[in-house]
Amino acid sequence: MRPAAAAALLALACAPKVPPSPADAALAARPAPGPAPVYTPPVPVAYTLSNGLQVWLLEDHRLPLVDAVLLLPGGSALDPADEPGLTALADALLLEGAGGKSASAFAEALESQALALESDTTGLWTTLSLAAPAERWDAGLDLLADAVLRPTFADADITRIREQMRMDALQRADDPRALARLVGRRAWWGPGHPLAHPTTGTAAALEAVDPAAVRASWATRASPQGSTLVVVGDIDRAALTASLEARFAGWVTPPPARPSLPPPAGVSGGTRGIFVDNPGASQSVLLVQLPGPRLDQAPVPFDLAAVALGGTFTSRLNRLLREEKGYTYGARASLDSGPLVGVLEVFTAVRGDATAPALTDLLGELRKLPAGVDAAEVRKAQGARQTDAVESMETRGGAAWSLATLVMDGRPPGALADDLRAAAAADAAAASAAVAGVSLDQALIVVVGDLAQVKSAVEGAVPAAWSTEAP
Amino acid sequence: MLLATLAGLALAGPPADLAPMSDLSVTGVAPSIPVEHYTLSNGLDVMLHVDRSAPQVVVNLWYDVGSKDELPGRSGFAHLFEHLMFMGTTRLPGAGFDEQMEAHGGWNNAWTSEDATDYFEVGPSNLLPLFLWMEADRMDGLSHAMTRQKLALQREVVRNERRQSDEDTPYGVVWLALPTALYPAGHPYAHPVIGSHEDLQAATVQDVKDFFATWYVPSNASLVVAGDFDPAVIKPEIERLFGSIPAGAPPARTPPAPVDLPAKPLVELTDQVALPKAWFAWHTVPLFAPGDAAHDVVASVLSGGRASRLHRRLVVEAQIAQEVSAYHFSQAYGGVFLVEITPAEGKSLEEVEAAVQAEIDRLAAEGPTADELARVRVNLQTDALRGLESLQDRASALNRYFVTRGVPDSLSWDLARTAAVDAEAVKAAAARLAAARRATLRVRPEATPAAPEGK
Repeated sequence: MRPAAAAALLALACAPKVPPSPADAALAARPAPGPAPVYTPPVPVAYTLSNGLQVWLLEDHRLPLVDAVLLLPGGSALDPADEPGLTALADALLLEGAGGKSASAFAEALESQALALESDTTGLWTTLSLAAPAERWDAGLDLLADAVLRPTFADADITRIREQMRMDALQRADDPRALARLVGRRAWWGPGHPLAHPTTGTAAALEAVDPAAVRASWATRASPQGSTLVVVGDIDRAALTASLEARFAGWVTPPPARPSLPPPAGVSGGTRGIFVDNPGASQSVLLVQLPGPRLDQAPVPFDLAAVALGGTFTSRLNRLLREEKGYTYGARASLDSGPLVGVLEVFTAVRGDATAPALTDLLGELRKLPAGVDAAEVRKAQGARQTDAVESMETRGGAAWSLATLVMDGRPPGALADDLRAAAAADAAAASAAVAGVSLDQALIVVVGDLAQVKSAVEGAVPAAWSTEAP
Repeated sequence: MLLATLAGLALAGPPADLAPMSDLSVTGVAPSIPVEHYTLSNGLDVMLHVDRSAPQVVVNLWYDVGSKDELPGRSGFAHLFEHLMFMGTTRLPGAGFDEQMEAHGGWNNAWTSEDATDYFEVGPSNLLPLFLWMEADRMDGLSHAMTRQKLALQREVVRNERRQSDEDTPYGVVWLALPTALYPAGHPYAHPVIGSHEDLQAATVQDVKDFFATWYVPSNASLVVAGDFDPAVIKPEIERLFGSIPAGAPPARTPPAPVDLPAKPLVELTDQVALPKAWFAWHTVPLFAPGDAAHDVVASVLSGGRASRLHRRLVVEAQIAQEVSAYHFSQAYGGVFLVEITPAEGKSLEEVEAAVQAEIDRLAAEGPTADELARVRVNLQTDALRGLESLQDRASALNRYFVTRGVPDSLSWDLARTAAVDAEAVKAAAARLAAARRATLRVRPEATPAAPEGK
């Protein structure tokens, strides 16, 4: 290393000559931002229909559009152990023929009116989202009601969608990023846990699913009890309530049995590492998971520290791994706090030949985290949270999904504003205290890469209980 | 008919040239993004769109330069240059650009295409003076602070982007191969925007300085400011910050001769994937040229949703395809119509390819039904309304329409042009998509790799 004085001289000698510019005077002083505006997210009205279905309504009459998300509890955690993917298969079938219409006729009825209806399955929920021009809201609701109350579940459609999902499952292994997440999910929850398998199942299991099980899956969990409809857009409460009561008042199915959910296996007593081979890959995907706070553990200060670690472009991980070392196109960290568990996740893809040093640097940043974050980092995280909140509430669909996330997390309608207030109230001391207990002893590392190229170097550089798993 | 108005955007009645559409009255709404457009004396175009409904601003600065303008042996340079724009200036060195805006809740990004490079900032309204200063600062003097170290670092970042987005992404090989399959050597679109590793490594600091001096000048840029601000305050600020930057003189471009046939009719590739796939690619017409909108409608009739022809006939009814999607992209020097085909298990690429071409031929012979045309129109109209929701989308649309046709508030014009596409125009566009005029790119799974070792 050159002595500091010599380096300074060299830097001076090499400094680029800057010609004067006509804009110099105007650009001489960089403006300092004035006081930051405060944004308070709107809060939806919450009420209950006669059949027990919860409704959250956020009126927004600026454009003639309405977006809605219907959330039904259940999700892939309800899958029988030998039928992973059953719930997602049944949910996908809701759009493949309903109310006496064939799959194609149902699609035509939607699309000819610019209605978009989609279903999705998470670990604990089924969602149906509807996006409609305001004046076609009633028509959209008719089709949503058909999907929920009168799905056809024809054998031929079940077989067709099952085959498509099976092919999708085969294709999932092509993507090293998706693979890393699947392996991480499996290891984090642990073998046999209801949330350990992919929500959309595995190719082998889907092949064995029979149509009767698909019909039974939906029939036993399609209940208004515990379900919520989030609506955002150009409709008022009276009109919405009338339109919902007219279609759903008779829907009185009892609620499904809740799945039994033990805590995740997680990692204890030392770092665990899993290799997955991706021969010929030019990059290695790195996923690190650590326990973080659950929703009932006031996660906002920890989240601010997670943003400082990897939530923005200038965060610690991206600055080091991308901008200083050139190992990656990007590195990110985020905290996902749910009702059951919180997980701090770091995710990146690095140049294959830099896998070991990149992982060493990444873990080094995690090791430094308990020493705390500073006030500037916390201000940056607070600002990022507010800007995210404005953007997430800007579109009707974005607002509906932001509110739907609150529902899935068991939170009240005003929680977005609560979180922003909690973030604004937190300081560096609070954020630092929240991450003081972060320890690599509880870290799960997944490396998906060309193992012939990277494995021995990683094992040599990163002490952990390493194993290799098939994709 | 005025259906709705809010601060910053308006829905006006249909313009006179808007063709009659379906019976949905929502389709009678003409979306509009109110804008004040003017030009500084140095040629910088400025567009102001006020919306004070949330305390947020967006700045969108568009440079009319893309990978089509790269010199031979410098593929990927326009995009590499985009990365270098964040590497600091004499006045704000190092990572100051990102650090300053993130310190106060702002964020930014940029993208590069064959035709354009677009930078945008998003954040609370108190950051607007800072956003404008930082854009003016780097427009004035980015290259003065350029060094070999900065270039070397971003070259590695971009090469990592190539690895992540193309090389290690399933079927990413197709996007690297498509330009050479479609265009003859030397055509401005004959290489991928990301460039080759070899060319990226060849780039020099002098290249950066030359590119900056040539293209990153006010007369080749357009600035949109959108959101919560007072034009009476911001207009003088824009004049003060940008007005004295020398105009520059970007060279006139000579559009290449139109290309009609692919350079390589058949490209066979392999990748580490479970299923084979094929892509059909045809040359179409430049953006907004006659026939452009008709190709958009053809794509929608073929694969816009589950009710579309290819999905209904090949995926639902015949069940010979896992998925079929059609797209149309048109740019300054020409358009590309693409169909992406994933066969169902046990079906050959060739069998499904033939079925797709047969559907295209049928559309060319019979034309679309009235219901299909109505469906396409009503969905386009609703999509346009959804395009008004996000401030970022509005800012981007203003700049895109300004650069491509000289009129920023062109949403309704664009809808009207698509609504005017009739069955004969769809037939004619589909007829251009004959098998003999296309490139076919096939990706087949590589031989199964050895089983991973256990431990």
